[in-house]
Amino acid sequence: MQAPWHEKILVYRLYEERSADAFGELYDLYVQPIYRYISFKVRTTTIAEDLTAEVFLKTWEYVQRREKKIDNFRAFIYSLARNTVVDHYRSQAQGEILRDREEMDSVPAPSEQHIARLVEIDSDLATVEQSLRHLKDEYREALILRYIEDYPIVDIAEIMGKSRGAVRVTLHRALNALREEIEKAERPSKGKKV
Amino acid sequence: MSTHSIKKQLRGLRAVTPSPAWQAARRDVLLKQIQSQMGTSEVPQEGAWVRISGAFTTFRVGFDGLMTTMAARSATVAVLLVAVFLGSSGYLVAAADRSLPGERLYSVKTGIEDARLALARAPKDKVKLQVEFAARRLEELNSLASIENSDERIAAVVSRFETSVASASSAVSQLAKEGEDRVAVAKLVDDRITEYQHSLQVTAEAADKKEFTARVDKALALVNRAGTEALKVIVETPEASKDDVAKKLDDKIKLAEETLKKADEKLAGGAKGAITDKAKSQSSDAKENLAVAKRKVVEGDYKAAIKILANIEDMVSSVSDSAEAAEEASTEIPGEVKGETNEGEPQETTETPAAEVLKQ
Repeated sequence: MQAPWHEKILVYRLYEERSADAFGELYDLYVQPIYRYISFKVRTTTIAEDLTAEVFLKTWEYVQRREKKIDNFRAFIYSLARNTVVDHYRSQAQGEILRDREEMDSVPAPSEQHIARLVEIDSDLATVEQSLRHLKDEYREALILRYIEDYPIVDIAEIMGKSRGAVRVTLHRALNALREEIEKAERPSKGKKV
Repeated sequence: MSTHSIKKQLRGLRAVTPSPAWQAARRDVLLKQIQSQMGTSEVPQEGAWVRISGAFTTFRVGFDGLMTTMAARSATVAVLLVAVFLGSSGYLVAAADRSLPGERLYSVKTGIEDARLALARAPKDKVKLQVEFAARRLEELNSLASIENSDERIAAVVSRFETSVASASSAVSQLAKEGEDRVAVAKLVDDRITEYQHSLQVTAEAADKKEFTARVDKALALVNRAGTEALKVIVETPEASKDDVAKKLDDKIKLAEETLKKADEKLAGGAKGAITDKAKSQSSDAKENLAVAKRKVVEGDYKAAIKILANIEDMVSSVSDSAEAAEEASTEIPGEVKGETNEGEPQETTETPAAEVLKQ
């Protein structure tokens, strides 16, 4: 885990020196986690790549505008990623407004190419990944940040705008919900008779 | 599937990564775009006029925010406020000075601070301001500690405090490279470190809330790190007091040892797994290095000792985070927390992140 100190220094250099090197280092730190975060919310790797690139470009543009400083880069970039995905769905719906968060919750099934990559690694992984997509957005997000990215609860609380206690509750419920989805996914194959 | 298996499978999803070719190509494209933007006339060049206008813009942003908020309630109130401001801006600034995060005048307060930073020319002046602003954040933290349901505001204040401290410390390092009055500036930071540490500890004890303490512990680690960076510069000067430096190094070594001890206790009692094993190994490495640092201090080789300590502190921070995670993982059976989940909230979006992230 990268020391927060290092990240603070990079953000400082980003603002004070408009350092392309500092931006490059922040990109190296966050490109994979942000890509993962987005890829579990969208259908194809191409869309995930495009939106990930958009997040970093928007980050640079935000720094350029110099309106407000970023105090917590991690919380900032995840919030930007979340909004970028929502904007993507809104543009897909061609002007239809997403009325509430639940419309975001049923993420479309991933493309076959996306599943194939995971099945190559482990077929159970593919099951877990597909089950993750069936969860409500809040649960999916909490599980990604905690168990995939390994962020401490205090960081997740800042990213999600919740208290630590509320994050723990969400994680507990999310794990139960994921277990149910996995069991549903495994049930048809277990029930098959020859 | 057991919870343990599900968690293990979720960790396996770390295998989902962009292709290395895409990652590298996208990096190149982004950096080229940035560099071409830096070279065009659209990008403002550094200069006094731009910095002053930037400062006014920053101040105006804070002021506009206040005006928008008040005007939403009543146009009469907004007009009165403009009259008051024009007539007696000192009162507004004084009132803003006392405001806390989440209050309406707080954006004016931080807008004024940002404007002062933008107007400061010399790096030394910037460091002085950052050090002053860090102290203000601690005063705000002290006020917030006794207010219920202020966790988000506390997190925002601590974040700003950390930014000020890290900015001051980074400026010290820059001065060291440019050969300016680095010692005086390093001492500016060094002099405040003990005050910050004391203030954070006292506030945490008074608040006696676990969330608060965890957040403050992170800030303390960052303050300690800033102190190490300042000491690196001070130790190189012939006029530095040897006794003073030796004592500071001893204090840092003791702090690292205490932090590792607490972390080891958490790792022993926490959840088992690869992360815990790695943290235990890191802790062991850190202790070996601490022993070397101690020897260097006894031998009077303070430069070597401080270099070793700087590396150790990053390791200790990492071990501490892993220990915290292990402890939390072993107690992840929460009770119900009323009113603290946000199920079914409508999803808003803007081009820039939600205001909560930047709320001050």
